[in-house]
Order: sequence, then structure tokens, then C-alpha cells
Amino acid sequence: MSDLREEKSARMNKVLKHLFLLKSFIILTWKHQEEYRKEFFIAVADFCVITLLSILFWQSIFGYIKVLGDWKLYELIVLSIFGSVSWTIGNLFAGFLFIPLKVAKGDIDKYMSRPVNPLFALLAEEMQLDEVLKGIITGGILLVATLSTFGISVSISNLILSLGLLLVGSFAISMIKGVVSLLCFWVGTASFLNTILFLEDYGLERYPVDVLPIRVASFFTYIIPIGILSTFPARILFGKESNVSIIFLMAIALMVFWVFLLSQMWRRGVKRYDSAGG
Amino acid sequence: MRKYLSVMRIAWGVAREHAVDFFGRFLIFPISILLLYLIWNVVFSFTPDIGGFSMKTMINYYLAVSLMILSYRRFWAIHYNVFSDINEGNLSIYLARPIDYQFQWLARMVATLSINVLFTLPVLVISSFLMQLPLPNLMSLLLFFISIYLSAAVLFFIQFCIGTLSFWTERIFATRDLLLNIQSLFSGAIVPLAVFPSIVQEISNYLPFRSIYFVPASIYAGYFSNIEALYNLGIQVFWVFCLFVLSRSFFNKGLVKFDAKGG
Repeated sequence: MSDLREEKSARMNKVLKHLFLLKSFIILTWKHQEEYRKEFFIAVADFCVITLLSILFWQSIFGYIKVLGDWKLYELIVLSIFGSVSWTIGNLFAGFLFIPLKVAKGDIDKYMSRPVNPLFALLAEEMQLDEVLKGIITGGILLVATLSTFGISVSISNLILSLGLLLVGSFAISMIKGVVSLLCFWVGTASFLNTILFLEDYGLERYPVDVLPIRVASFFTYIIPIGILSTFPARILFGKESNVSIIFLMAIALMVFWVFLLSQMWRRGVKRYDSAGG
Repeated sequence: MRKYLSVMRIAWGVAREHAVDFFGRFLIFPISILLLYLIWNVVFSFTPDIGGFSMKTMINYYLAVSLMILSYRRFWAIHYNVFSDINEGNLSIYLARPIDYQFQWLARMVATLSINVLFTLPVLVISSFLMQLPLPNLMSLLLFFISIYLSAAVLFFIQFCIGTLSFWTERIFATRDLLLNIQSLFSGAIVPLAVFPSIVQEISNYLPFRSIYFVPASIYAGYFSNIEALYNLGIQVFWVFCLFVLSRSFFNKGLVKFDAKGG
């Protein structure tokens, strides 16, 4: 009984230690950001430009057509906002992008010599919280502005569900990026799969996947799940989705699958790791 | 000139080393083109013409833009290379060499672009063939080829200007991102400029960005007649010259402030 209690307390201490580390990195990021407040505002303007680009894109298209599938202009604008926000949330896991370089340079040693989970320490150190905040704040403002401009009201439950799905989708995509990034332990930095790490460059989330043929739509929902980033959250927000719980479960299952794969690959990858510095 | 040819030869070798990585980027290419094809297919099912573009012209346009984005990938790092050289003091090493700093970067990029174009042009033509899209005639292909080099030069000098801002501030990245996103609006990377509202088209006429993607891709897609293409090539040359002068003056002015770290 006392063994069980001790084990439980040790586990608790471990969690607290990691949370403390996370807090420290958040404070550090915040202080660093405070030094460059002007930069933050330029970055906010940048986010607005990215989102406005998508909005302008759809506005231009809707100058020629009235509807796209069952999508109206304001719904596609919201889809664009969700798309932009989802990638900024991915910056919580920006550390994945640096793993190939760190492995090549032998910088993983630094994390392995600490009494915390090395992957957690790496991710916490490279987390770009300012980018996440930028996306959430600006995305929130743009969402409210769009809904009020078009005079659209949405239910709170739909809003919570759609934002929840967006969050799960962003995490799932980040885990996929993590898995691709960890391939560097086996195939080096010039992996032909590296392109997945920069998926946002292609702007695929700008389009509603459900207007596509069913097989293609399934590909962009289950294989490269960009549909969970923008299409389905927007559908849920406007009450157009009847299978909310199925989509949610599928998104969570996808995320769990990729987290599991990630942890297995990290465990095996670290065994193969050979520091450049000896 | 021989010095720059040597730099180009070295850069050619480096680009060959990175060939696996370069080809890796083609992995997403069929996926993104397929998505664009299907989306535009839906859009064009409601209307036969968007801003003077037919479905086939539009897909050809996107093919050209996608492959240019792949080919220009290394150009996007120029500002960072200049930033690093200035902030890490490596610039002083270059300055001590009998070679012009800006031209040696330009020579490297010309070599990288040449090898990328060599790989991407066949992909472009084969993709058009597979998707049963009209292939450009030889004249258009030649003009497209020239236009690619001019558009890359525009991109290079813009990137170089951003990099030289490091002489005055260590934090250039937010400004870079903002500028690059404005660029993607006016360059025609997202959608042909002819599709945008007239105000955006009007503004884009006074900016160098339309020379980056819109001009070469429109030549490839057959949106421009040969005369229009030649006129737009002239505009590209004009912007290359203006941006060269601007980047040169930024660099020379900044050099006065340069204080090499580490001696």
C-alpha cells in the first residue's frame, strides 16, 4: 500500500517538475517577447494579411459564382480564419522542425543530460508562444468581425465544439510533423518527407475539402487531415454537420495514433542517436 | 567574371548535393495540384471564365506557379544569409576577398536556379501533357524561360534589401514576414491577379511583386500574347534594375555602420 503511495507521489513529482519547466519556458518566452513589443504588433499585422489574403481570394471567386457546393462566402471566410489560426497553434510544437538540425549537430545531448523527458524539454524550449497568442487573439477578433459584419449568430455549443476540433486537428497535424521529423534518426536531414514539415506553405487548408470527390475528401480528412483544421470546424460552427461526435472521435483517434507512433519512434530513434561531438 | 563562374560551379555542386531534398519537395506537388484542379473544377462548373482565365489556362497557371515556388525555395533564404553574415561578422571575410559580396550571392543563386529549372521544366511539360492541358509554343516557352530568370532576380534583390536591414536592426523577421505576405498578394502566387478586384490589380501595377509569379506564369499559361509577354518582360527588366540600385544603396549605406563582431 505504501509502495503504491510512494510510486504515486513520485509520479506526481515528475509531472510537477515538467509543469515547472514549462512555466519557466513560458516566462522566458514572454520576457523575450516583451523586449520586442513592436515586433509582436508587426507579427499581428502579418497574421491579418495572411487571413485577408484568403478572404480576398474567396471574395474574388464569389464575384463570379454565388455558392460553392453548400458553402456561402461568409462561411468560407470563417474557414479561412480557422485555417490561419490552426497553423499558428501548431507553433506550440515548433520544436519538431528543429529536431533534424539538432540531431545532425549533436545538440540532443543537451536535453538527454537533464533529469526531464528530453523530447518535452526540447519542445518546451522551442515553443513559440507569441505566435500562438498572435493567432488566437487576431483570429478571435477577425471571427467576431466577420460574424457581426454578415449578421450571423452562432450557438455557444457549436463555437466550443468547432474550436475544440480545430485544437485537436492542429495537435494531430503537429504529431504527424513530429513523426516525419523523427525520421531524421534513420534517414538524415535531407529526408524526402521533409516537405510535410512545411505543409502550411501550400495553403491547402484554404479550401473546403467536402466539395471534393469522396475519395479525395477522405484522403484530406484521414491521411493528411487538413479537413479537421478548417473545413469541419467551420461546418460545425454553422450547424451544417450532423456527425459531430463521429468526427470528434475520429480526430481524437487520429491524434492518439500519431502520439503513440511519435513516442515509439522517439524511443527507438534516441537509441540510434550518435552525438556528433562524441 | 571567372571568379563568379567559379562561385556558380561550387553552388551547382551544392545544389546537386541537395538534389534528394529538392526532389522530396515534389512529393507534395501532385497532391497540391490535384486539390487545386478539383477545387477549380467545382468553381468552373458554375462559370466558363474567371478574369479571362479558362479552366485549362488556370491549371496551367498554377502548374507554373507551383514549380516556380519549388525552384525559388533557396531564394527565400537570401535575407537570412545576409542577416547571418552581418550579425555574425562573416561579412568582413567576404569584404576582404577580391569578389563582390552581392554578386557572389547572385552567382550562387543563378547556379541553383539553373539546376532547379533544368529539373522542373520537364516536370512542368510532362504534367501539362498528362493533364491534357495545352502546351505553350516554343516562343512562349523561351519567353517563359527568360521571364523566370528575371523574376528570380526581382526576388533576389527584394530578399537582399530585407537582409541589409540587419545593418540597422537585429530583428528583421517580423518585417520580412509582413512584406512577404504582402508580396504573395500582389505577386499572383495565390490566384492570378486578373481574378482579383480591379483595385488590387491597379495597385499591383505599381509594385515589383507581379513580376515574380504573375508575369512568368501568365506567359506559360498563354494568358499573354507574345507582344504582351515582351512588354511584361520589359517591366521585369525595369524592376530588376530599380531593385538592384536600391539594394546596392542599402548595402553601401549599411556598410558604413558595419561593425564586425569578433574583430
